Amino acid sequence: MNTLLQVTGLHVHYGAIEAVKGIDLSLAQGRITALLGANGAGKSTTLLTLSGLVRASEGSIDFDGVELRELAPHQIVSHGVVQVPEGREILTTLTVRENLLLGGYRRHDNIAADFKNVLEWFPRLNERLDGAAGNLSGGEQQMLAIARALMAQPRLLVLDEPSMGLAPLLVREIFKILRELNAGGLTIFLVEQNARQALKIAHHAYVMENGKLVLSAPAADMLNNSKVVEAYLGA
Amino acid sequence: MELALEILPQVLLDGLVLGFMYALIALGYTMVYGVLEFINFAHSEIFVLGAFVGVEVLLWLQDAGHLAVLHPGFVLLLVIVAGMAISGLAAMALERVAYRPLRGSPRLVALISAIGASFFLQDGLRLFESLWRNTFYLNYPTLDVLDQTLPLASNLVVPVKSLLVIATALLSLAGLHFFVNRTRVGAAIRAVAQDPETASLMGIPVNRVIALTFFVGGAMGGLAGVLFGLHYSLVNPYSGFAPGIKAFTAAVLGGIGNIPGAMLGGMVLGLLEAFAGSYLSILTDGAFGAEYKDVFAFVVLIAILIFRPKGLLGETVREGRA
Repeated sequence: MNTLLQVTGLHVHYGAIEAVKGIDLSLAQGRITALLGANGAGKSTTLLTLSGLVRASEGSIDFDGVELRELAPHQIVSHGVVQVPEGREILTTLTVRENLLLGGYRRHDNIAADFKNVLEWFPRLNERLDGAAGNLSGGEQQMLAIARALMAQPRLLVLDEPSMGLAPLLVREIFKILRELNAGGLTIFLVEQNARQALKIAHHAYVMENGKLVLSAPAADMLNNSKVVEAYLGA
Repeated sequence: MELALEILPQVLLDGLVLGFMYALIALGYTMVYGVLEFINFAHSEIFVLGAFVGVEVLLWLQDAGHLAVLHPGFVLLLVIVAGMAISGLAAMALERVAYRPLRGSPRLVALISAIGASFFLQDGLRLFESLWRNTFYLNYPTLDVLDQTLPLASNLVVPVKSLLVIATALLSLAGLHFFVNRTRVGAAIRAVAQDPETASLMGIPVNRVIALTFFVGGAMGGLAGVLFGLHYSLVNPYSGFAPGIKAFTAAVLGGIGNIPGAMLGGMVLGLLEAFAGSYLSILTDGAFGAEYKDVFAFVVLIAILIFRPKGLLGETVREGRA
């Protein structure tokens, strides 16, 4: 199994506070990897560091031979690491169409084909293309956020809590889409508090606690070991 | 009363000219506020810089003997393009040197930096012109075509230079509207205005977009400066203060950060000022003269802001469509 992304000895500080205390993790090409843990464990900080919004104080982030640690967020997107931020963070004042087209901002090839493709993945967006994105429901906004990320032609799709605040039915729909995207060859890195749901689609999972990785195991093993789930995930 | 009606068309015309001028300057304040939430107080000097570039280009053409030979349309185009380009570049340089290093620090710090930059530019222009021409009060050379008038009616004589201001401003405002709302880069500016972090996660180079915003806002200010010089002739390094404060007010009046708001606010302020200048003494039987026009304009402004604190159109860069 090829490693697409290798994080080594990553430390992240917010001022004097160390939010990530030296973690190593690797993402296998073509797989779904989940990062689980309670609130404040350092999961989101880890993702923000991968995307360049937060600077690491130490360590390396190797993406298929490219060191991402010193790059600006838009350069990281150009390399193919695209994040769907927590809380959906779509551009509410822009139209759905503009959100999607801006998703492909770094690309100079013809994006019309991908535009058509993502609308096939998310047919609901099709009906709302020229409306303000802020008028979409929560579930539709999450779909737009994912569709927008796909417009950047990611080689690694990073999602921060895609299930947050969504009804169970929508969560299932979104996870189904993630699984299908993965079946098409896309590597996915998923941060979730909804551990069971995430473990069901993931191949491998890490558990984070107080800025450190405390467990790394195949997702299926973790799901079957109810003690682990209870101890670390409280679910 | 008869006199009041008699001068109305002329007053409207003066108001429009002022209004378009304010609108063009106000865009620079509002666009920068849109992306950085900060008031670029050096923008009035970017405006003046445009006026000085204009006069320098014209004087250079005059000294070289080209002014009388070249087609006036070409001369105007040259002056306008030069003023826009240099003001735009200066605004970009300002952002790079005086604002970007301070990003992330408290907003007051950038504000102080802007005030410092404002003094620096004023006195820099003064120094340069003092050394170069021995005076920093410069007069625009006359262009015959601008001094002609079109008598449209017995009570409305339209100077060509007023038409020039209105036509150029309309064209560039329409161009800007198209650029911001209908192009990919314009959408990127709106994306950065709404949420710079998310914009960067979408692959938008935020710093470059901010620099571009300064360029566009600066170019609009430079254009206003050239038009100001062509229309009112006399410029000095401190000419920017009053128009700058008023354009800033216009931006707040329209809803700071809101592009159509800046255009509307400029227009309202320009018309108010022209009306007050001409009508105050007629309506008050000479008790208040034209010198109270700014007082009157600002009283109306304060009244509007009491009832609509977010301005006529609101801060919609963040909340609605720009």
